[in-house]
Amino acid sequence: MSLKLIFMLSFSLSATAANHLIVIGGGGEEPKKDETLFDNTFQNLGNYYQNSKWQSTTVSFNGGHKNLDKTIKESFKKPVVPFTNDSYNQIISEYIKQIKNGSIKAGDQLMVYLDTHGAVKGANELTHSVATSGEKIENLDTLGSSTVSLDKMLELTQLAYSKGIKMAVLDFSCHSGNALPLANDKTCVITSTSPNHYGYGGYGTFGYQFTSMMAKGKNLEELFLNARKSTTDKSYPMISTPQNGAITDFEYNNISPYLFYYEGQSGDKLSPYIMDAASKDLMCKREEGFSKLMALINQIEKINTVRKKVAFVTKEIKEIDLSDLKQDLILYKRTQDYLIKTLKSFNVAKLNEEIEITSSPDRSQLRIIDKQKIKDILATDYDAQIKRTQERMKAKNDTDPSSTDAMLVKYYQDAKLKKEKILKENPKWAQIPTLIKNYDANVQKTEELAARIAKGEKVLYDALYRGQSNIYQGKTNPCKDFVL
Amino acid sequence: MKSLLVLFFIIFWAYDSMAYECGLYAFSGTVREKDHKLLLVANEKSNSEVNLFFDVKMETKFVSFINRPITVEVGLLKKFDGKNGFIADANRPELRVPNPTKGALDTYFNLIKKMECKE
Repeated sequence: MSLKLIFMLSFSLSATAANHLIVIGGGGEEPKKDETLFDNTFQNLGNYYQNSKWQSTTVSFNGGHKNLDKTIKESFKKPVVPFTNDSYNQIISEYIKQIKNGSIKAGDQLMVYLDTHGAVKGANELTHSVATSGEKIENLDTLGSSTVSLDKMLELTQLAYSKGIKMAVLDFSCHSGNALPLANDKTCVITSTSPNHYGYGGYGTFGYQFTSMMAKGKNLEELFLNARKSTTDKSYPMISTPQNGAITDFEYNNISPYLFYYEGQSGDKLSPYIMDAASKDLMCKREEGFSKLMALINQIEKINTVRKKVAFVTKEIKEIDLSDLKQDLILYKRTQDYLIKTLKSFNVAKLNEEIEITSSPDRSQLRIIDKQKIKDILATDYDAQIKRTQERMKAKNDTDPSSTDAMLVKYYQDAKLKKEKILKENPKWAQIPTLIKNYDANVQKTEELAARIAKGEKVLYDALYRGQSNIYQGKTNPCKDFVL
Repeated sequence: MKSLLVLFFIIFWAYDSMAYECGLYAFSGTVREKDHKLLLVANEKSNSEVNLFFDVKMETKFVSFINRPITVEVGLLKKFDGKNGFIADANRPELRVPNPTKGALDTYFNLIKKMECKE
């Protein structure tokens, strides 16, 4: 009798449970441009949406970009509402209201889909801030002035938890691993990358893979694992499950530096890391982390090696072969060690000190005076500059001792004397031009290496995650419980 | 004669409308030396090569970066045709690592903030 009652109750609950969707983001892109970084992934979501059933849907995604607007109108059948500070606050307040008045009730599912540019965690933030519409971001780490903090969403996730509502927060922005603190026993958080790595847009990225695999009946954990394994970008996607937490301790912290790379100043996570490692003497810590990582990879390979009889001979076959990953890690570690060693030999801190250079000690209006960094002074051939300026004076018959060029010659002479003094005090620094040249050549290889390591890491993570499934069987898992 | 004048007007108008805005630009390129003077070059050796000249007084900012790839924010207060411009002011340049896989797209010259032109 009681079994029948439970069966009937669960049937009636699932029959009345409703799905609610919030779609926000698309900010930080150049205004008035047809294409954005989010187009393909957003279109995937739109395709899925057309074949799914959501009782209520709210879309506030960018605005003013042709491709996104088309998807909003054609796939979501919604008006274009730009993603702004006001729309963000209004949406959260509205859903809080709906939970409080019972429009969204226990057993319902509420999904927040967010895809925009994301910042690193702010000093006073629990999570991180993301870009809103109307302004192109100035910096990939700190964004610009048009942002909102995901901290605001905490009230929503906590309220949903207290009311027994299943929630999912999908944050596909850069540094989105910072959104994981929004998770609780009823809220699943999935992020396209870690707290300190970039996320990516377009084909093959985590967001693209995830949205292209979305289908009725799939649970979020399963979707996450399949999407992550097929991702080809350099991100480190995360999920708010204990399995991910364990991997963070064992794998993420040690592999993280090898996913950094240099891609121009706006996308450079590598240089700050190398500078930090060089100035704080982190070599021992790096060695320890690397040894642990290699041991972990070897262990995973060993566990997944089977003995098979092939033509009268028993052979050991690796079901998970991480040889390429190990080789790439060794190679990249060697490159990073070289960079750190190089920077250490630079005595980096001192090289950034500034020295005054002047054309004359007198405070005349004509004199040229400024401050130059030691590293820049050392990189300059002042004899060549003096010669070049004198030739320019000769070409225009400039014999005026107080002309700008005459002042420049004196300025370069002063710089030359100061350079000689610096080198006399620090004779090792004479090698710096060669070191810089070698440093530049090595840094250029980093993106390719990081990309290869990221690819291998996806296989390693999958093995580590699935290998833990028995430990957590039967335990609360809001990511598995959230079913599309 | 009238049609020639109209043609001249159209060409002049088209040329003038192609002129770049005055303002603050983000520059990514290389410092070069030409005729004993320094200049900044972006999109080098392509049809859209940009040459930016400046007063010799400003040389001290760029002298440590000759033939080296840099990024720098520069202010242009005179309209120019997108080929040859004159820098009124510049921040301290920063070295950048060129990306050989990006070809011509590795350098750029982008308007950050529009400003009034001064003649």
